[in-house]
Amino acid sequence: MTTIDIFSGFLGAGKTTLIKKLIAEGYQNEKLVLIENEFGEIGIDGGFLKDAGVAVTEMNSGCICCSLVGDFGKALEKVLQEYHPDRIIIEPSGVGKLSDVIAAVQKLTSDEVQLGSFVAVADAGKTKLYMKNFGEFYNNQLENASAIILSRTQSLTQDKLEAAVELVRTKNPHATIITTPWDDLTGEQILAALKPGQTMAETLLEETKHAHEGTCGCGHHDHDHEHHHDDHGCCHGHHEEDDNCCGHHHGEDEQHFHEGTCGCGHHDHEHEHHHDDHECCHGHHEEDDNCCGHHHGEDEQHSHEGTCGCGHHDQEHEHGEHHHEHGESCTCGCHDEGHHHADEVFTSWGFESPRKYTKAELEFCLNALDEGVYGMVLRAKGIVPAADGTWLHFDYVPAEYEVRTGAADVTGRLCVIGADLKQEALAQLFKKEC
Amino acid sequence: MAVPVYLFTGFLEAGKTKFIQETLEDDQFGNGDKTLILLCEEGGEEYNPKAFAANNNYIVTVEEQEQLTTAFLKECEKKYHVDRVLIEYNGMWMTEPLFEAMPKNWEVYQEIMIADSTTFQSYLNNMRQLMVDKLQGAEMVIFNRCTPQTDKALFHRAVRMVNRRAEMAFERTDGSVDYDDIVDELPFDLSGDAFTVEDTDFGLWYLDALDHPEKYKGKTVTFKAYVCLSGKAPRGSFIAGRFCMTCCADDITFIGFITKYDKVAQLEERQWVDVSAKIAYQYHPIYEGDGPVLTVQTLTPAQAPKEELVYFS
Repeated sequence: MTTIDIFSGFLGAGKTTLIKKLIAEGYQNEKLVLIENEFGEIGIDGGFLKDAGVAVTEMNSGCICCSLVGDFGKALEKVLQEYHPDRIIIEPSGVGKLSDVIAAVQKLTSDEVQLGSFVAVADAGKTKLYMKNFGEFYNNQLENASAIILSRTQSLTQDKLEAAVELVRTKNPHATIITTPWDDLTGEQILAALKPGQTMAETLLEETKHAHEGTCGCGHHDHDHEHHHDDHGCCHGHHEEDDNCCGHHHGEDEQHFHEGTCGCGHHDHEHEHHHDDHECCHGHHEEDDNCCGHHHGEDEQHSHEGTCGCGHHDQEHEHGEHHHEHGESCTCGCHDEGHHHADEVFTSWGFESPRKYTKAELEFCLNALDEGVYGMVLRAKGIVPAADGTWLHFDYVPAEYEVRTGAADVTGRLCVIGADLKQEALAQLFKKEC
Repeated sequence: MAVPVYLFTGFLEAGKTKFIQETLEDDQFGNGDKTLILLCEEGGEEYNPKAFAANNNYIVTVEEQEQLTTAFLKECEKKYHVDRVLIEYNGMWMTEPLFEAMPKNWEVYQEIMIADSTTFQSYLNNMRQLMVDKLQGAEMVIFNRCTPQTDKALFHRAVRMVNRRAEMAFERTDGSVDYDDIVDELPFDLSGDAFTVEDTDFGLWYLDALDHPEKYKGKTVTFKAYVCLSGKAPRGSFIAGRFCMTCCADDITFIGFITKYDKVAQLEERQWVDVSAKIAYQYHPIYEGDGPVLTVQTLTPAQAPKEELVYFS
């Protein structure tokens, strides 16, 4: 299977520099072919590419009137046949439309090809000027990109950069906009950001939903307990690192007897189940392959008598899949509806921006979340650039937060999850001049 | 009354506004003539009318190329009773529609192209059609932001590929200016009464012959030509020329000279011939003025040249 990544962007935007960085740091152990449809300004030097094992095909059309589409499909197919690469990187003409290139790739009949990322690289300082004067092809690149990578952001003032991001956003409400100076990012980080995935808000919302359904499953009723939510885990935090949660010992030659009630000692079955694509934990075993409270060791005997120990009475769980359907008789605490009704209750609010914060500003904002004027805030999380050039990561649950210095990300992001969120007030809080 | 037009072309951010601003600050140019400035591009720089030497300048902004109609331009002239017009043209627009829209009494006195030496090569390579369009018409090309490393000879050659007459100036970042002093060597020897143009040099000769009558008048030229029996050619003549390509297959055009031949009836359309002809300069509408008119001395059918197209690149 060959993945095709497209890097569009006007002349001088920095496409070539970016591609070089990605080849050097990002695309590891892949057989690459680079298709150039532009006479590069810097020119990717042959030696570098040879060392990196990259084949280069040039398609020099050279002017607007010859849109590349005509022979482009043929050229692509030739590259596929000749090299069978893992990945083809296309650097199309800077004055061409990205949608034309995407269409040309989509027209390929081969089953062996898939479209990867389609990126627009834009000089942050020139977005306004170019949008106004170039119009069509320039806007087309921004509008059709799955990710927009701004270049030379370090040479803009904070206000100008934020204005540029907002302007670009008007052309493309969905794309990730990378605003961090490239030198502060690894090629790997950039590539990861190009892949479509869950947004921070989506991830956090899901975590929160599962953690707060109806009555919280953990048996604490007033939400004043501490939930440990870290980046990886959805676990509801009672036994995060504990292999022996649930009161089961998972030794090798062990016998389990699940009798009626869940062995974890929660008798009211109100413990939490976590369901999300990545994590199988049934709430108890974060590091444990054996979800559902069952140990699936080789030499093991299971005795399922009557009811499964995990609290599902109607064979709702499917072992081997990390997903549970909860029927009506699910005992997790929701009696009348499935688990996914929580959307109606919880909302998320957040934004992506290159805006810089100091630690004190963040602490001020996070303290303010407890005041009640922003709605019932259950979680907040963010990774934002700091005024001093480092990056700040924060996590918030009611009455408790942590702000720490951490790794740079491709852009600043923060989100807030809760019920009845006052979005305007939140925007005021986080975006106002602190 | 004739309205002189000063046309400033060049790509976005080339420095057109700054150049025009400085021109209008100069009392010699800013002599009090009522001036209309047609601003067809809004770049990073803005005009500062307060600094202009005279205070009777009117700036009209043109947002879309479609706005540039004859009616619109006439109205501008009438409204402001202007003595002259300065146009800061949009780098992404071709010049042809502008020339077509210009009222008959508007006369282009000077066409100046401003080019940023740091982006010139890349823009020329990648937006050839737009750049060549501006280069072809320019009487003067000003390369700014030059440094000691700027390859002036390279720029000179790039201009000369498509324009044989334009003067060039190289403005350094410190404000000093070098005028182009590179002597163009022609690939044919004009010291005698007759010369021969090689198949690959036709384009060069064509451009030079249009721009420099003094060099060619009365001489005899020998070259290989493609016969075009155009209805536009005067009776008893044909067009001896070649197909040329500036950017790509889409812009192939026929270029050639009016050639008088007493046996024109014996010629076949699209045949290749070796021609020796005497060069004169006469008025003809095809040239929109005086242009080279050849008179055949000898003509023989010939094989097509190895490369049928002529390239301006």
